[in-house]
Amino acid sequence: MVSARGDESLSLAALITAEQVPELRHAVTAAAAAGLPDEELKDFVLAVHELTTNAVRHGGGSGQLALRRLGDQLTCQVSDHGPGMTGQVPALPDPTRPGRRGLRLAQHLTAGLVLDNTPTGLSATVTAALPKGKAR
Amino acid sequence: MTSDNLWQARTETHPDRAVVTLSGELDITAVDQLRDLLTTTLRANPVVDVDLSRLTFLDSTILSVLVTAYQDATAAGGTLNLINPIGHVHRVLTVTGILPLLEPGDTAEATPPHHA
Repeated sequence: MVSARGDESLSLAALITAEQVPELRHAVTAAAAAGLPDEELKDFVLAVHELTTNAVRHGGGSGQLALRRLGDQLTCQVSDHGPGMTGQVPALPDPTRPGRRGLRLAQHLTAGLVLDNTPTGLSATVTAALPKGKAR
Repeated sequence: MTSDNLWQARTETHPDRAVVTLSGELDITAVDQLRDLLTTTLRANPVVDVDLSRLTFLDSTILSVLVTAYQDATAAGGTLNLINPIGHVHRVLTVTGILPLLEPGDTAEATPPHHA
């Protein structure tokens, strides 16, 4: 059964700037720690961090972050003010080459990455499943 | 800057190599300083071991710095090894396929190097 619409809460909302990337990562860790076991927490936090870093580097330099609990799922949406994105998430580059690995990591380390082009920029959302019994 | 408190680097020079021990959290705010540190260290030491045993976080921008340093080292006839990654750092280096290429081979001595 899909969780009821009323079962939604906002855990964290913040503005993203370059200087605040580390602080935001720590805030997301603190906010998500109650719901996710250690390994999943670290995966989710890195995924969110990659999205905020992307917003700073490629998304116009700033954005908004919203961490939400939706029933038995934890989602984090990062919206930026950049040109948006066309095409697929880039594949991982050759291991010995520098390159953009952020979005692919975010996709790999979570239950899903969804990208939407909006009138104001790119919206990227990652999701993690909350373990049974910790969903409330 | 916040980033000053997030991470630290310590470099030990041995006859056959330098060992750079990184601790804390490395992210985009550390990119420029880490790149400069590795470039400088590689200039003086063709073989550099980067000890990750005290590192708790790294992101994709740091992966690019490490991989670029590895490229620079091999182009100059040396090498750069990643040693002792733990926890999530090990996981990230593994899922990106980087660790098997940048960790020392079976014949290499694990840190600390054979040095009295």
